[in-house]
Amino acid sequence: MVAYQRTNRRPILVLIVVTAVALITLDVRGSGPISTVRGGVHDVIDPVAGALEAVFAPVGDWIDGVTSASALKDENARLRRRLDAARGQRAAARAAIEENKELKKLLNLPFAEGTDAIAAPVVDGAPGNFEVTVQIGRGASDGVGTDMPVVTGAGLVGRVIEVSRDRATVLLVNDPQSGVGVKMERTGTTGVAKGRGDTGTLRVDYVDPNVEVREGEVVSTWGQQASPFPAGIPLGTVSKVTRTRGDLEQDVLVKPLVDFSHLDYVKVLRPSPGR
Amino acid sequence: MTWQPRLRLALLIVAVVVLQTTVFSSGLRVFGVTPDLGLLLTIAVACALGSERGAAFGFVAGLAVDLFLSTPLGVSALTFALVGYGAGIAQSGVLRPSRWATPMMGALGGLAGGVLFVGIAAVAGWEALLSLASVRVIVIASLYDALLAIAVFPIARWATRTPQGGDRTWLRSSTVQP
Repeated sequence: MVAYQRTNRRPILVLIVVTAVALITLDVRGSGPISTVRGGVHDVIDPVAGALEAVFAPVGDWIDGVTSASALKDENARLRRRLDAARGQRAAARAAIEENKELKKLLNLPFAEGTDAIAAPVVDGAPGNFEVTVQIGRGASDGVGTDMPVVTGAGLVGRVIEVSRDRATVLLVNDPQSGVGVKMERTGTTGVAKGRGDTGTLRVDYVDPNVEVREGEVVSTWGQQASPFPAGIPLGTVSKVTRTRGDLEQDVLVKPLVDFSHLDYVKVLRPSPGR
Repeated sequence: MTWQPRLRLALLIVAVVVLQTTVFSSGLRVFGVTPDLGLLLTIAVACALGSERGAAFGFVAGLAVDLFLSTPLGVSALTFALVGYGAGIAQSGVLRPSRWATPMMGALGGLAGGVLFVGIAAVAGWEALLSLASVRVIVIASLYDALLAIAVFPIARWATRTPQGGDRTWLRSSTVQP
Protein backbone atom coordinates (compact mmCIF):
# COMPACT_ATOMS: atom_id res chain seq x y z
CA MET A 1 0.00 0.00 0.00
CA VAL A 2 1.29 3.43 -0.90
CA ALA A 3 1.01 6.10 1.81
CA TYR A 4 1.15 9.74 0.85
CA GLN A 5 2.17 12.23 3.53
CA ARG A 6 1.34 15.61 2.20
CA THR A 7 0.36 18.89 3.76
CA ASN A 8 -1.64 21.38 1.80
CA ARG A 9 0.56 24.30 0.74
CA ARG A 10 -1.99 26.77 -0.47
CA PRO A 11 -3.60 27.75 2.87
CA ILE A 12 -0.21 29.02 4.11
CA LEU A 13 0.30 31.09 0.98
CA VAL A 14 -3.26 32.39 1.24
CA LEU A 15 -2.67 33.30 4.90
CA ILE A 16 0.50 35.22 3.98
CA VAL A 17 -1.26 37.07 1.15
CA VAL A 18 -4.23 38.00 3.35
CA THR A 19 -1.93 39.21 6.17
CA ALA A 20 0.18 41.28 3.77
CA VAL A 21 -2.89 42.86 2.17
CA ALA A 22 -4.26 43.70 5.64
CA LEU A 23 -0.94 45.35 6.62
CA ILE A 24 -0.81 47.34 3.38
CA THR A 25 -4.38 48.54 3.91
CA LEU A 26 -3.67 49.55 7.52
CA ASP A 27 -0.53 51.46 6.57
CA VAL A 28 -2.15 53.25 3.61
CA ARG A 29 -4.90 54.41 5.95
CA GLY A 30 -2.28 55.77 8.36
CA SER A 31 -2.17 53.38 11.28
CA GLY A 32 -0.36 54.89 14.29
CA PRO A 33 1.17 51.66 15.70
CA ILE A 34 2.92 50.94 12.39
CA SER A 35 4.71 54.32 12.52
CA THR A 36 5.68 53.63 16.14
CA VAL A 37 7.14 50.23 15.21
CA ARG A 38 9.04 51.77 12.29
CA GLY A 39 10.53 54.45 14.55
CA GLY A 40 11.53 51.88 17.19
CA VAL A 41 13.28 49.65 14.65
CA HIS A 42 15.16 52.65 13.26
CA ASP A 43 16.35 53.54 16.78
CA VAL A 44 17.90 50.06 17.13
CA ILE A 45 19.47 49.88 13.66
CA ASP A 46 20.72 53.49 13.32
CA PRO A 47 23.84 53.20 15.55
CA VAL A 48 25.00 50.09 13.64
CA ALA A 49 24.26 51.88 10.35
CA GLY A 50 26.39 54.86 11.35
CA ALA A 51 29.40 52.66 12.08
CA LEU A 52 29.06 50.73 8.78
CA GLU A 53 28.81 53.89 6.71
CA ALA A 54 32.17 55.10 7.99
CA VAL A 55 33.80 51.77 7.10
CA PHE A 56 32.34 51.36 3.58
CA ALA A 57 32.35 54.99 2.39
CA PRO A 58 35.69 54.69 0.45
CA VAL A 59 34.45 51.55 -1.38
CA GLY A 60 31.27 53.36 -2.39
CA ASP A 61 33.22 56.37 -3.65
CA TRP A 62 35.35 54.09 -5.83
CA ILE A 63 32.33 52.35 -7.40
CA ASP A 64 30.66 55.70 -7.98
CA GLY A 65 33.78 56.92 -9.76
CA VAL A 66 33.96 53.82 -12.00
CA THR A 67 30.29 53.82 -13.02
CA SER A 68 30.13 57.55 -13.74
CA ALA A 69 33.56 58.17 -15.33
CA SER A 70 32.31 59.35 -18.76
CA ALA A 71 29.63 61.50 -17.19
CA LEU A 72 32.27 63.08 -14.95
CA LYS A 73 34.41 64.07 -17.97
CA ASP A 74 31.46 65.81 -19.63
CA GLU A 75 30.51 67.44 -16.36
CA ASN A 76 34.09 68.65 -15.89
CA ALA A 77 34.14 70.40 -19.28
CA ARG A 78 30.72 71.91 -18.66
CA LEU A 79 31.74 73.13 -15.22
CA ARG A 80 34.88 74.82 -16.63
CA ARG A 81 32.74 76.79 -19.07
CA ARG A 82 30.35 77.70 -16.31
CA LEU A 83 33.19 78.79 -14.05
CA ASP A 84 34.35 81.35 -16.61
CA ALA A 85 30.86 82.75 -16.89
CA ALA A 86 30.39 82.70 -13.13
CA ARG A 87 33.49 84.81 -12.52
CA GLY A 88 31.94 87.63 -14.50
CA GLN A 89 28.67 87.34 -12.65
CA ARG A 90 30.28 87.22 -9.23
CA ALA A 91 30.50 90.92 -8.66
CA ALA A 92 26.89 91.46 -9.70
CA ALA A 93 25.81 88.54 -7.53
CA ARG A 94 27.40 90.04 -4.42
CA ALA A 95 25.35 93.18 -4.84
CA ALA A 96 22.22 91.10 -5.50
CA ILE A 97 22.79 89.01 -2.36
CA GLU A 98 23.01 92.12 -0.21
CA GLU A 99 19.85 93.46 -1.81
CA ASN A 100 18.13 90.12 -1.36
CA LYS A 101 18.96 90.04 2.36
CA GLU A 102 17.44 93.45 2.81
CA LEU A 103 14.30 92.50 0.87
CA LYS A 104 13.87 89.32 2.87
CA LYS A 105 14.06 91.28 6.09
CA LEU A 106 11.40 93.64 4.80
CA LEU A 107 9.04 90.95 3.54
CA ASN A 108 9.67 88.64 6.50
CA LEU A 109 9.45 85.49 4.34
CA PRO A 110 9.55 82.17 6.24
CA PHE A 111 12.41 81.03 4.00
CA ALA A 112 14.54 84.03 5.03
CA GLU A 113 17.27 84.12 7.62
CA GLY A 114 16.13 83.93 11.19
CA THR A 115 13.59 81.17 10.61
CA ASP A 116 13.79 78.46 13.25
CA ALA A 117 15.76 75.81 11.37
CA ILE A 118 17.72 72.69 12.26
CA ALA A 119 20.88 72.01 10.24
CA ALA A 120 21.28 68.31 9.43
CA PRO A 121 23.84 66.22 7.55
CA VAL A 122 22.61 63.85 4.85
CA VAL A 123 23.83 60.44 5.99
CA ASP A 124 22.24 57.95 3.59
CA GLY A 125 20.26 57.51 0.41
CA ALA A 126 17.10 55.49 -0.14
CA PRO A 127 17.29 51.80 0.81
CA GLY A 128 15.13 50.82 -2.17
CA ASN A 129 15.02 51.56 -5.88
CA PHE A 130 11.50 52.89 -6.12
CA GLU A 131 11.64 55.90 -3.83
CA VAL A 132 13.64 59.12 -3.81
CA THR A 133 14.46 59.76 -0.18
CA VAL A 134 17.48 60.61 1.97
CA GLN A 135 18.26 59.94 5.60
CA ILE A 136 19.36 62.93 7.67
CA GLY A 137 21.34 62.77 10.89
CA ARG A 138 18.81 64.62 13.06
CA GLY A 139 15.69 63.15 14.61
CA ALA A 140 12.99 63.62 17.19
CA SER A 141 15.58 64.32 19.91
CA ASP A 142 16.67 67.40 17.91
CA GLY A 143 13.12 68.62 17.41
CA VAL A 144 12.55 67.21 13.91
CA GLY A 145 8.95 66.16 13.23
CA THR A 146 7.01 64.68 10.34
CA ASP A 147 5.87 66.97 7.53
CA MET A 148 8.50 69.62 8.30
CA PRO A 149 9.88 71.23 5.12
CA VAL A 150 13.53 70.62 4.28
CA VAL A 151 15.59 73.15 2.32
CA THR A 152 19.09 74.08 1.24
CA GLY A 153 20.36 77.54 0.44
CA ALA A 154 19.18 76.96 -3.15
CA GLY A 155 15.58 76.08 -2.36
CA LEU A 156 13.14 73.34 -1.44
CA VAL A 157 14.46 69.79 -0.96
CA GLY A 158 11.38 67.96 0.35
CA ARG A 159 9.61 67.13 3.58
CA VAL A 160 10.18 64.82 6.54
CA ILE A 161 8.05 61.66 6.31
CA GLU A 162 9.52 59.43 9.04
CA VAL A 163 11.29 60.27 12.30
CA SER A 164 13.26 58.14 14.73
CA ARG A 165 15.17 59.36 17.76
CA ASP A 166 18.36 60.43 15.97
CA ARG A 167 17.43 60.26 12.29
CA ALA A 168 14.72 61.24 9.87
CA THR A 169 13.67 60.25 6.36
CA VAL A 170 13.10 63.06 3.87
CA LEU A 171 10.91 62.53 0.80
CA LEU A 172 12.53 64.60 -1.93
CA VAL A 173 10.38 66.72 -4.22
CA ASN A 174 11.45 64.62 -7.22
CA ASP A 175 9.97 61.44 -5.73
CA PRO A 176 6.99 60.33 -7.86
CA GLN A 177 4.82 60.34 -4.71
CA SER A 178 5.70 63.94 -3.84
CA GLY A 179 3.28 66.76 -4.60
CA VAL A 180 3.94 70.42 -3.77
CA GLY A 181 1.50 73.27 -4.26
CA VAL A 182 3.40 75.87 -6.29
CA LYS A 183 2.97 79.35 -7.68
CA MET A 184 4.61 80.91 -10.76
CA GLU A 185 6.23 84.07 -9.50
CA ARG A 186 5.65 86.17 -12.67
CA THR A 187 2.09 85.23 -13.53
CA GLY A 188 0.87 84.18 -10.10
CA THR A 189 -0.82 81.09 -11.53
CA THR A 190 -0.77 77.97 -9.35
CA GLY A 191 -0.40 74.21 -9.77
CA VAL A 192 0.92 71.05 -8.13
CA ALA A 193 4.55 70.07 -8.78
CA LYS A 194 4.95 66.29 -8.95
CA GLY A 195 8.23 64.37 -8.87
CA ARG A 196 9.46 62.40 -11.89
CA GLY A 197 12.25 60.35 -10.30
CA ASP A 198 15.71 60.81 -11.76
CA THR A 199 14.55 62.63 -14.91
CA GLY A 200 15.88 65.92 -13.55
CA THR A 201 12.59 67.79 -13.84
CA LEU A 202 9.27 68.10 -12.00
CA ARG A 203 5.90 68.22 -13.74
CA VAL A 204 3.43 70.91 -12.70
CA ASP A 205 -0.19 69.76 -12.98
CA TYR A 206 -3.40 71.79 -13.04
CA VAL A 207 -1.88 74.92 -14.62
CA ASP A 208 -4.53 77.17 -16.17
CA PRO A 209 -4.18 76.85 -19.98
CA ASN A 210 -5.22 80.48 -20.47
CA VAL A 211 -2.19 81.85 -18.59
CA GLU A 212 1.00 82.33 -20.56
CA VAL A 213 3.74 80.58 -18.59
CA ARG A 214 7.24 81.33 -19.91
CA GLU A 215 10.42 79.28 -19.78
CA GLY A 216 12.80 80.55 -17.11
CA GLU A 217 9.98 81.70 -14.86
CA VAL A 218 10.71 81.13 -11.16
CA VAL A 219 8.43 78.67 -9.33
CA SER A 220 8.02 78.80 -5.53
CA THR A 221 5.86 77.08 -2.95
CA TRP A 222 2.31 78.36 -2.82
CA GLY A 223 1.71 77.86 0.91
CA GLN A 224 -1.95 76.81 1.01
CA GLN A 225 -3.39 76.36 4.47
CA ALA A 226 -3.27 72.53 4.42
CA SER A 227 0.23 72.37 2.92
CA PRO A 228 3.29 71.61 5.08
CA PHE A 229 5.30 74.05 2.95
CA PRO A 230 5.21 77.76 3.79
CA ALA A 231 4.83 80.17 0.89
CA GLY A 232 7.80 81.57 -0.97
CA ILE A 233 10.37 78.76 -0.85
CA PRO A 234 12.02 78.68 -4.30
CA LEU A 235 11.55 75.34 -6.05
CA GLY A 236 12.92 75.79 -9.57
CA THR A 237 12.57 77.45 -12.93
CA VAL A 238 10.23 76.55 -15.80
CA SER A 239 12.23 74.55 -18.35
CA LYS A 240 9.53 73.57 -20.86
CA VAL A 241 5.95 74.56 -21.59
CA THR A 242 3.65 72.62 -23.91
CA ARG A 243 0.19 73.89 -24.75
CA THR A 244 -2.26 71.74 -26.66
CA ARG A 245 -5.38 73.41 -27.98
CA GLY A 246 -8.49 72.23 -26.23
CA ASP A 247 -6.67 70.79 -23.22
CA LEU A 248 -7.87 71.78 -19.77
CA GLU A 249 -4.33 72.34 -18.54
CA GLN A 250 -0.87 72.96 -19.99
CA ASP A 251 2.20 70.77 -19.55
CA VAL A 252 4.82 72.60 -17.53
CA LEU A 253 8.19 71.11 -16.60
CA VAL A 254 10.32 72.67 -13.87
CA LYS A 255 14.04 72.22 -13.30
CA PRO A 256 14.71 72.18 -9.54
CA LEU A 257 17.19 74.66 -8.12
CA VAL A 258 18.59 72.06 -5.72
CA ASP A 259 21.14 69.53 -7.01
CA PHE A 260 19.78 66.34 -5.46
CA SER A 261 22.81 64.28 -6.44
CA HIS A 262 25.08 66.32 -4.17
CA LEU A 263 23.14 66.85 -0.96
CA ASP A 264 25.52 67.06 1.98
CA TYR A 265 23.74 69.34 4.43
CA VAL A 266 20.13 70.49 4.62
CA LYS A 267 17.99 72.57 6.93
CA VAL A 268 14.74 71.40 8.48
CA LEU A 269 12.33 74.31 8.94
CA ARG A 270 10.30 74.27 12.12
CA PRO A 271 6.85 75.79 11.67
CA SER A 272 6.21 78.99 13.57
CA PRO A 273 3.70 78.62 16.46
CA GLY A 274 1.05 80.48 14.51
CA ARG A 275 0.92 77.95 11.67
CA MET B 1 13.66 22.79 11.74
CA THR B 2 16.08 22.90 14.66
CA TRP B 3 16.92 26.17 16.37
CA GLN B 4 20.35 26.64 14.76
CA PRO B 5 19.13 27.18 11.16
CA ARG B 6 16.31 29.42 12.46
CA LEU B 7 18.79 31.53 14.43
CA ARG B 8 21.16 31.76 11.48
CA LEU B 9 18.31 32.81 9.15
CA ALA B 10 17.09 35.43 11.65
CA LEU B 11 20.61 36.87 11.92
CA LEU B 12 20.89 36.88 8.14
CA ILE B 13 17.69 38.94 7.88
CA VAL B 14 19.12 41.50 10.32
CA ALA B 15 22.43 41.60 8.40
CA VAL B 16 20.63 42.03 5.07
CA VAL B 17 18.49 44.88 6.41
CA VAL B 18 21.53 46.68 7.85
CA LEU B 19 23.53 46.27 4.62
CA GLN B 20 20.59 47.28 2.44
CA THR B 21 19.89 50.44 4.44
CA THR B 22 23.52 51.53 4.76
CA VAL B 23 26.22 50.26 2.43
CA PHE B 24 24.00 49.52 -0.57
CA SER B 25 21.67 52.52 -0.17
CA SER B 26 24.35 55.10 -0.88
CA GLY B 27 27.80 53.85 -1.81
CA LEU B 28 27.32 50.55 -3.62
CA ARG B 29 24.73 51.68 -6.15
CA VAL B 30 25.47 50.82 -9.77
CA PHE B 31 24.04 53.38 -12.23
CA GLY B 32 21.96 54.65 -9.32
CA VAL B 33 20.41 51.25 -8.64
CA THR B 34 20.77 49.07 -5.56
CA PRO B 35 20.39 45.26 -5.50
CA ASP B 36 17.58 43.69 -3.54
CA LEU B 37 19.46 41.64 -0.96
CA GLY B 38 16.34 40.54 0.93
CA LEU B 39 14.76 39.21 -2.25
CA LEU B 40 17.97 37.40 -3.22
CA LEU B 41 18.21 35.77 0.18
CA THR B 42 14.56 34.71 -0.07
CA ILE B 43 15.18 33.07 -3.45
CA ALA B 44 18.25 31.28 -2.11
CA VAL B 45 16.39 30.05 0.99
CA ALA B 46 13.43 28.92 -1.14
CA CYS B 47 15.81 26.92 -3.34
CA ALA B 48 17.21 25.21 -0.24
CA LEU B 49 14.00 24.68 1.74
CA GLY B 50 11.19 24.60 -0.80
CA SER B 51 8.32 26.82 -1.82
CA GLU B 52 6.32 26.84 1.42
CA ARG B 53 9.20 27.77 3.72
CA GLY B 54 10.54 30.07 1.04
CA ALA B 55 7.26 31.99 1.07
CA ALA B 56 7.23 32.18 4.89
CA PHE B 57 10.86 33.35 5.01
CA GLY B 58 10.16 35.88 2.26
CA PHE B 59 7.22 37.30 4.20
CA VAL B 60 9.35 37.87 7.32
CA ALA B 61 12.35 39.24 5.39
CA GLY B 62 10.08 41.50 3.35
CA LEU B 63 8.42 42.87 6.48
CA ALA B 64 11.84 43.72 7.92
CA VAL B 65 12.81 45.55 4.71
CA ASP B 66 9.40 47.30 4.57
CA LEU B 67 10.11 48.98 7.91
CA PHE B 68 12.75 51.10 6.14
CA LEU B 69 10.88 51.98 2.95
CA SER B 70 8.41 54.77 2.31
CA THR B 71 6.06 52.42 0.43
CA PRO B 72 3.29 50.80 2.54
CA LEU B 73 4.27 48.12 5.04
CA GLY B 74 3.56 44.73 3.47
CA VAL B 75 4.42 45.48 -0.18
CA SER B 76 7.90 43.92 0.04
CA ALA B 77 6.55 41.18 2.34
CA LEU B 78 3.96 40.13 -0.24
CA THR B 79 6.45 40.45 -3.11
CA PHE B 80 9.14 38.37 -1.39
CA ALA B 81 6.61 35.73 -0.29
CA LEU B 82 5.28 35.26 -3.82
CA VAL B 83 8.76 35.19 -5.35
CA GLY B 84 9.95 32.76 -2.65
CA TYR B 85 7.02 30.46 -3.39
CA GLY B 86 7.72 30.61 -7.13
CA ALA B 87 11.46 30.08 -6.68
CA GLY B 88 10.82 26.97 -4.57
CA ILE B 89 8.60 25.50 -7.26
CA ALA B 90 11.02 26.42 -10.05
CA GLN B 91 13.98 24.93 -8.23
CA SER B 92 12.23 21.63 -7.53
CA GLY B 93 10.67 21.05 -10.91
CA VAL B 94 11.69 23.41 -13.66
CA LEU B 95 15.36 24.38 -13.50
CA ARG B 96 18.11 21.86 -14.12
CA PRO B 97 21.32 22.14 -12.10
CA SER B 98 24.04 23.95 -14.02
CA ARG B 99 26.75 26.49 -13.38
CA TRP B 100 24.40 29.23 -14.62
CA ALA B 101 21.45 28.16 -12.47
CA THR B 102 22.38 30.41 -9.53
CA PRO B 103 22.83 33.72 -11.40
CA MET B 104 19.81 32.84 -13.55
CA MET B 105 17.67 32.37 -10.45
CA GLY B 106 18.98 35.71 -9.14
CA ALA B 107 18.17 37.51 -12.41
CA LEU B 108 14.75 35.94 -12.96
CA GLY B 109 13.81 36.39 -9.29
CA GLY B 110 14.98 40.01 -9.42
CA LEU B 111 12.88 40.66 -12.54
CA ALA B 112 9.80 38.97 -11.08
CA GLY B 113 10.29 40.73 -7.74
CA GLY B 114 10.68 44.15 -9.35
CA VAL B 115 7.57 43.73 -11.50
CA LEU B 116 5.53 42.41 -8.56
CA PHE B 117 6.71 45.21 -6.24
CA VAL B 118 5.77 47.93 -8.73
CA GLY B 119 2.43 46.26 -9.46
CA ILE B 120 1.47 45.80 -5.80
CA ALA B 121 2.64 49.31 -4.86
CA ALA B 122 0.64 50.76 -7.77
CA VAL B 123 -2.51 49.00 -6.57
CA ALA B 124 -1.83 50.42 -3.07
CA GLY B 125 -1.80 53.97 -4.46
CA TRP B 126 1.80 54.39 -5.65
CA GLU B 127 0.69 54.41 -9.31
CA ALA B 128 3.48 56.85 -10.20
CA LEU B 129 5.81 53.84 -10.13
CA LEU B 130 4.23 52.59 -13.36
CA SER B 131 6.79 54.27 -15.59
CA LEU B 132 9.62 53.58 -18.02
CA ALA B 133 12.09 54.63 -15.32
CA SER B 134 10.91 51.67 -13.24
CA VAL B 135 11.61 49.29 -16.16
CA ARG B 136 15.22 50.55 -16.33
CA VAL B 137 15.60 50.14 -12.56
CA ILE B 138 14.16 46.60 -12.60
CA VAL B 139 16.46 45.46 -15.42
CA ILE B 140 19.65 46.88 -13.82
CA ALA B 141 18.67 45.58 -10.37
CA SER B 142 18.06 42.07 -11.73
CA LEU B 143 21.52 42.01 -13.36
CA TYR B 144 23.04 43.20 -10.07
CA ASP B 145 21.04 40.48 -8.28
CA ALA B 146 22.38 37.86 -10.71
CA LEU B 147 25.94 38.86 -9.84
CA LEU B 148 25.39 38.89 -6.08
CA ALA B 149 23.48 35.58 -6.19
CA ILE B 150 26.83 33.83 -6.61
CA ALA B 151 27.76 35.01 -3.10
CA VAL B 152 24.33 34.91 -1.44
CA PHE B 153 23.33 31.34 -2.40
CA PRO B 154 26.28 29.66 -0.59
CA ILE B 155 25.53 31.77 2.49
CA ALA B 156 21.91 30.63 2.41
CA ARG B 157 23.02 27.01 2.01
CA TRP B 158 25.24 27.39 5.07
CA ALA B 159 22.44 29.00 7.06
CA THR B 160 19.90 26.27 6.21
CA ARG B 161 22.16 23.27 6.73
CA THR B 162 21.22 20.73 9.36
CA PRO B 163 23.42 19.94 12.37
CA GLN B 164 24.39 16.71 10.59
CA GLY B 165 25.05 18.51 7.31
CA GLY B 166 24.14 17.15 3.91
CA ASP B 167 20.60 16.77 2.69
CA ARG B 168 18.21 19.57 3.59
CA THR B 169 15.10 18.07 2.06
CA TRP B 170 13.96 16.84 5.48
CA LEU B 171 13.31 20.45 6.34
CA ARG B 172 10.54 20.62 3.79
CA SER B 173 7.22 20.04 5.46
CA SER B 174 5.34 19.27 2.25
CA THR B 175 7.05 16.17 0.97
CA VAL B 176 5.50 13.35 -1.01
CA GLN B 177 6.59 9.93 0.15
CA PRO B 178 5.51 7.02 -2.02
